[in-house]
Amino acid sequence: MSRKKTPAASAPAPTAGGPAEILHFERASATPSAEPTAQTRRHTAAAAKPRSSAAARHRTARPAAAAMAPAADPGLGHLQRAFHVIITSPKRLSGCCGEAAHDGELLTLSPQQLGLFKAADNLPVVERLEVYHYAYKARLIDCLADDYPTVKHVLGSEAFDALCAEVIEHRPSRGPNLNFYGRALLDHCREGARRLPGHAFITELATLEWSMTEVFHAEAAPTFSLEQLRAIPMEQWAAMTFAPSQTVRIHRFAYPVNAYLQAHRDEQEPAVPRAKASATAVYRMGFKIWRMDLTPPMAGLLEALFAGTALAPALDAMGTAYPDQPGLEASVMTWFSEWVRSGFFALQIGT
Amino acid sequence: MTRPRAAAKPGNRFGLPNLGIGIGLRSVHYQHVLEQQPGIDWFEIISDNYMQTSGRPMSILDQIAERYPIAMHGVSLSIGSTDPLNLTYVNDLKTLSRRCKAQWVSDHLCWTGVMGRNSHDLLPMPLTEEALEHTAQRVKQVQDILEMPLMLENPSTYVEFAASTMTEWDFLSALCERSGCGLLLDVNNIYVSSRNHGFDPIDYLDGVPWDRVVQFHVAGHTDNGTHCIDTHIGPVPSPVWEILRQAHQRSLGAAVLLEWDADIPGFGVVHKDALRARRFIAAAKSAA
Repeated sequence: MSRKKTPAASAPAPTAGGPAEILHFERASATPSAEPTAQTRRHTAAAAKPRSSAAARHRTARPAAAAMAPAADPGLGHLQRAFHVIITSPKRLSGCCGEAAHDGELLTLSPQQLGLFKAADNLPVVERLEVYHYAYKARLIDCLADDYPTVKHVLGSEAFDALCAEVIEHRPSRGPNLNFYGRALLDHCREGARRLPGHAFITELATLEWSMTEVFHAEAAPTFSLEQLRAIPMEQWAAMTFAPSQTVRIHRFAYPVNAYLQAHRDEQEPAVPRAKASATAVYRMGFKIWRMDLTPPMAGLLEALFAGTALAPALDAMGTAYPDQPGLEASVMTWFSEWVRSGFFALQIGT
Repeated sequence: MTRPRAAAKPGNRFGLPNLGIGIGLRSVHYQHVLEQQPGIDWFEIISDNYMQTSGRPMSILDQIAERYPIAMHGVSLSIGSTDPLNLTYVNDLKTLSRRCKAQWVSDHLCWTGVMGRNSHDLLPMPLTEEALEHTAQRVKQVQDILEMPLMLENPSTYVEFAASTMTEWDFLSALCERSGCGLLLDVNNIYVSSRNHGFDPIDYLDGVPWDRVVQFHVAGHTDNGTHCIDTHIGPVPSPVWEILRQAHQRSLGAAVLLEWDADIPGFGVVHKDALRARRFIAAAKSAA
């Protein structure tokens, strides 16, 4: 998957791989089926039975019609709020969960709540509501799993689903488009999920994976080309500033997260690494996502340039920060060539 | 499903064309469609997959829209919600419709969230006069922005509200009348809801204003015995094709589209299943 590397030993080495190459989460009007999960194995069993089976129809206790509240029209807004509260509850709906759960984990619907819906013989109201209740969480977990496949691998499915459940409860989706809901998981890791095993590593891995989604959707404005770079008179270089393209992100990490992610993609089954500083650029060329490991001087120089520092002071700062690496400036042209080729800089240069 | 059909009004479909038989465009088929340019009548896109993104999906849509007619089908308009209408979303729909030269724009008779929160599901409407008037006003607002009629699809539903005072087909008919909208009739959803709520699909078909139906959806579903779920999985089952036959007989020609969203097979398999519609359309024509 590696692009042909630049001969110079000090050149950055990009690696391909991002959500552009996998099936990115796609919206549809279908309802996620409850069938594959333990929570709803009961439905699978029901499907195998004759439709007239009394056991299939009445395995869960159903409130008697007389116990339901009168069906006076409570108004559209009230109905929608009441419905939404039920289907987005983090608790399991009492009366349709096949497994035992503590009382605190179950939502028992009141007669008033149940009375908002029509009772029918073929399926209790609570099981009908469970179709929506299950689909709500399943759809969002699918979305998050698509954005964070490596985080899911590290945590395992059960822990990942539990993390997602926290995210969904505390950071519900508020926009019409799911393309950016994944940001909620990263924010939750950064601010909320301190009990997560390997929290620091997971958060950095989530940062890297979310960057890939961000650049996947980012606007690809015209970028600075190699020809334009070569045409710049030497006397102008010192005062030049470079604006970042919207399709590039630079990250410094305490863990070698990009190496881990690549090893996972290469099916090497890597162990969770020990802390070791790293830096990675995530960027898009055309419609392909790339990652490029950066040395500390490279990362520092890019960060300074992206912050608006002119080239000469940025290079001076690099030299000051790494006095034990003389000759770094000699590599800068090689770095720049790779960065420009990779579309790091937007076409809005100034002096 | 053998009762004589009700007399159909002459279909005008807003003067919109019968696009033929199409399939829902899905990303797993992008490469095949671009490279093989298969002989298919048209594609329907999920509008939301091409909104708020500037990457590969838009570029691919641009290429496909150059070669095939496109209709837009959204899942986030939330036309029935009591939250304020998201005008940014509606304007983005309009921009996308212009870009891909959409033949029409559709969404669902549903709401997706309230209190500023989005469930991303197609939630059922209480079928009341208040909900009807509320939805009709919002449809008009959307149509004013889009500058074209909005098509609304009947959703699959799993629960009914005790407050409902009319059938879904009566609600849709009145909505068309009050707002001027059209219908995307999903015959799989009619089947799923009929199983879940115990009505006769023929009653539904007899109650639909056929001059407003511009498109049909067919799809597979999951039959759990006690109820069905609209999973869009597998080939279209026979009872759904039978409803399409009866519906097409009434519509006198509306476009047909197959939705397949779970365990999606290769393009050829999906297209072949969609083309099974020809047999039922022919049967409808011969019976008409």
